[in-house]
Amino acid sequence: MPRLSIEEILRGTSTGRIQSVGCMGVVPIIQGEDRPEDFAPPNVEAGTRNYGRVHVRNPADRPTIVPTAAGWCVRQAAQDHAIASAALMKAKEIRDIGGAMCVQQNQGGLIRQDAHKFVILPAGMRNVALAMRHQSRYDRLWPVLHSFNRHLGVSGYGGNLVSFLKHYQKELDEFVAEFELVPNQIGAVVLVMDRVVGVEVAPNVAYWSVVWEPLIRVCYGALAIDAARRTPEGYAPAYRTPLGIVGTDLNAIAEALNDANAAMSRKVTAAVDAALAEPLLCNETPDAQLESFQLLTAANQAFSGQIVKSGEAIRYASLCLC
Amino acid sequence: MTELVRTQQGEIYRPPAGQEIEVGRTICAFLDTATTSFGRATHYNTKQEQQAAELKAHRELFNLERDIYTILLTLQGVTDRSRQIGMKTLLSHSRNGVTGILTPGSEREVLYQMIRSLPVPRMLKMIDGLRVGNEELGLKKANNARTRKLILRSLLSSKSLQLWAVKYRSKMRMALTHAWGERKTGVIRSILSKDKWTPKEQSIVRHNLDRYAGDHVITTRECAAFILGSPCQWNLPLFKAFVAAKDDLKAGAKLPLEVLEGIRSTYHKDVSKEEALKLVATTGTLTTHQKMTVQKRAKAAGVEVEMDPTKYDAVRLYLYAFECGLSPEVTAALDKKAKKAANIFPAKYDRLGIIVDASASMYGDRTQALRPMAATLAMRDMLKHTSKQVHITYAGGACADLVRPEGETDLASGLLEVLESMPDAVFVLSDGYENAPAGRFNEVIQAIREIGIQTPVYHINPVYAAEAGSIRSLSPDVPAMPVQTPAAIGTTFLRGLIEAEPVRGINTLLRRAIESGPLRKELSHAPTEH
Repeated sequence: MPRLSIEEILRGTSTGRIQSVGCMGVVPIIQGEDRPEDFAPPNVEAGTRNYGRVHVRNPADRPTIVPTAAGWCVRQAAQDHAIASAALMKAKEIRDIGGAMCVQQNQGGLIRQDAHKFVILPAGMRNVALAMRHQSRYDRLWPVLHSFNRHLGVSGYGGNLVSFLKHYQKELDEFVAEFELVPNQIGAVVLVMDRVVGVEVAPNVAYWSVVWEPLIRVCYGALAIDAARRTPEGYAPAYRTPLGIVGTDLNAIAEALNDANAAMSRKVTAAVDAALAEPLLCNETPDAQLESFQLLTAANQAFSGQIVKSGEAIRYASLCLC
Repeated sequence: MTELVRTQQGEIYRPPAGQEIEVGRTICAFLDTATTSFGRATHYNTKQEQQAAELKAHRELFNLERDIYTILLTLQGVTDRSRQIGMKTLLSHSRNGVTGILTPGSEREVLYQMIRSLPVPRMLKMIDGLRVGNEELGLKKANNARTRKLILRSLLSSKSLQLWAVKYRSKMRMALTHAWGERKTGVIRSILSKDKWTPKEQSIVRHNLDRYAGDHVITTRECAAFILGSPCQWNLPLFKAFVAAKDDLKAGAKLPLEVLEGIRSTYHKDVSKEEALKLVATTGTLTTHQKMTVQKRAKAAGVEVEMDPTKYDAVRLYLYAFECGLSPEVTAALDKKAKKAANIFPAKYDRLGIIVDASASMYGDRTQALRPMAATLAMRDMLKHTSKQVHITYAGGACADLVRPEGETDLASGLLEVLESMPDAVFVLSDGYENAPAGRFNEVIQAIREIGIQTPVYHINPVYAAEAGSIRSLSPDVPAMPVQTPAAIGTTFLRGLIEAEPVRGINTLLRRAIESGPLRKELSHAPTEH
């Protein structure tokens, strides 16, 4: 099986300063030089014509990648759907993505085709969904969603992602909204408490600006909510270094601030290096291919997800904690 | 003239004993929403969240004390949106002739002045909104006699009725129908299309139209006929132009741009949009607002539309600059406005520190893109002129002539930087969302207080945060003040006073509202503060 290191995924990028609010931390991944704009942002139109298939149109005149675990939760009398695997779409292509999963057990009906905003499934269930990507039963995620909701104290029976979104709407907005894009950002390493829980790299800045919110709000926000429920109030990640002021003037505070920031940076780098040391194993047969681009599924003991590569260059990666 | 009712001890209002702090809190929550919320989405909250939060703040103050609510709606800096909500709330709840701090007559006058102060589209939108109720949000319909009279007086007594009739014909028709009712509107329409009226018909017109028209009875009747679509011989110039333009577009040169464009797109499809713009630009009928909004289009069409930057408020000028660039004329106008706003600012400094949050979130929601940044820059300019020396630092942002928001929010480093210059006070202009890391600003505030630095630090916030139920604060020790425009800063400065001394703060605020608003005529009857 081909092996892939995190260094290869992050080649040609650098990391920015960590942004940290509550349990969650985000280390921006910044492009070294301008990346080609060959992939359009995933502003696709989606709908369903029958259960288990999402009908997608890429309106752009460039190819795009429909992100791994994208889902459409709509305010219609229609069954919300999500896909387990990413999809490579040609310019202006219209097609059905099979093997899609219903994420709203208590609602029937088909989604009207439109440019709906998409979500990305909570990180905790992405690896399960990915493992079932070749299955076709549209109801296969219901038990996972049901236990996910119960685990987070969301009332009601059934596999309904929307119940989680409604129950925690305030927290999702409040808890994750503080994170901001920095110039030339194309990805992020996400930490919840002291653990790296995700590595996301987009093909370019424009693409990242579209997937950023669904990733941070629902995908990783769900993990942060879970962590916040399990930790006592006021508990902070270990990398969150308080000011250690020695002295009684402004210089002493400024020095303490610099030291705290540097210590945070060191701790975060160490945590990221440790978590990402083990190489990933990729499947030999691509899940999909578009021209020179291959969509591959990759995993190691800690992470699983998908990448898009062209030759040696990794153009897209979405890996989260198993 | 109506009279403001006085209370004991020279106060306009005294909260019930033991509830002073709670009342102060309710008023502060109202001020937070009334001066910053537009009922639209922000970078962080959806439109629905924002609207629910602002209605709650309105409802709580209204339930606490109707007259305080009424007076505070007239404060400088209260957004049109808040006034719209306020008017609807007041109109949909009967006063039953009760005299409190205000008399029924005072409240009526405040309502009339407030409705007249709204831009016409907002006034008409508000009137339209009176027809709609929403139990879930606690909104009631308003169609009582008081409401009907207010609508008719506001519309029919206006000297601009002819222009409004042409420009907002269908909305005006809707407003008049709401006030008169379907049946009576039909009757009036039919009467106005006749050459001769019976005594009964004359009485109907006198009662429903003429008594609101003042000295413009004939004009008002013709305008009403035009609005209602009565077939008539038009004598007023805009109505004549409206009819003539359907045959010859040039005959409509005096019409408002949007009206002429409507006629062009229906009757003269072969004529380009730019031609219509050229016609209107030459007759000078573009409104001040249009002169700004058509700039880009006019440039592309090779039409020169003169725009006087001094006629716009600073926030709008910054928004314009973000779109079209910062010209020397706009820069000069901004400077002039900043100086003027600084003159009425309640404090002056020798040395001032200003921290400008220019991080990505200051972009705001796309429905009001860059508004938080524009408000912040306008505030920065004003504050600069309140001090002899100023030290400004930016958190995030692409620093050029015009600061554009980008990047993370590190306010703690900025605070230490400006404190180095030993300022008399520090102003932090920020939406209150900090992430590098969250809470660091508060840590630094605690640290500087511990080493004895007592420099006052104020947080000015241009963004209402629904999830916080008010504006977002950076530190419990730093008073956060909601401000949308430099002119409103004086109002929100009093918010701090309410928190410290509720009774005095509330009364000072009420007095300020009365002095600067439509109730000032009654001021002579109010007691002075001791």
